[in-house]
Amino acid sequence: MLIRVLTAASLLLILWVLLSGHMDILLLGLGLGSCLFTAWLAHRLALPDPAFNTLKFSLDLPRFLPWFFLEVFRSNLDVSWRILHPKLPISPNLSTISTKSLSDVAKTTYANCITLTPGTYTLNTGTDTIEVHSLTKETAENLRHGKMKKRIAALRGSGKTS
Amino acid sequence: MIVISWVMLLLGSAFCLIGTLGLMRLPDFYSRVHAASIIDSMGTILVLLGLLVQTQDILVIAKLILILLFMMLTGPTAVHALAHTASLKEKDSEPDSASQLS
Repeated sequence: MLIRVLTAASLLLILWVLLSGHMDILLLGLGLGSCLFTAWLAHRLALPDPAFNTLKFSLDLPRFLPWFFLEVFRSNLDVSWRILHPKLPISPNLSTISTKSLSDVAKTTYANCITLTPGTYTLNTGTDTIEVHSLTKETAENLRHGKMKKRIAALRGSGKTS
Repeated sequence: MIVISWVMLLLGSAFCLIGTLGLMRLPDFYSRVHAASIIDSMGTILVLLGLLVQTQDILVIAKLILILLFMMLTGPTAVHALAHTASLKEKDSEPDSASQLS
């Protein structure tokens, strides 16, 4: 527990230094105080999944992000093209996707990634399913293929699967 | 460097414009949210990257990256909150209209 609070506090302190740019003792001291307090508050507020390993997860993210940003770029072009098209070729629809095989952190990541990708966003979340609104039939079809889900499930350290 | 920066800034602005256009052209609330997410993703990413290559100051770079990070976390949250609330209200007021969504 102590290690978690201290890790969070030191990460927050790095953030403090980056944002302020001041290095004098008074401001660093104030920063340290507020960072420790914030880390303690966050710890009291919610106990994270003990199996969630922030370090492992962060180390795996660089493998996922380039692919994800390419996907965001591609769907941006697709949705932009559809908006500019005189006939507006869209077919909005709702689909339900199972997230049974994912841990809590992975579920959140998945739902957020879906929303970040234009053309799809998460409308409702359940324990084992998420409801996704898609702008076109094709994007919904892509989502059902589960390429993104597989890549997120492959991230290590995302905690236990419920 | 300044050319790359301007290309990215202009492209980002173009995506913002397309998103705004989509906001007006698309037929219903749930589709319009898709247009807003273009502004959210490509618009902000390109504008911030364009600003990023203009500076050598490490503190400014760190701040721009942090802005990008926070935008990528708050954007989807806002989109989800909006759409989720709309779907709840719709199911509340008329039980039949939930089928209109699909």
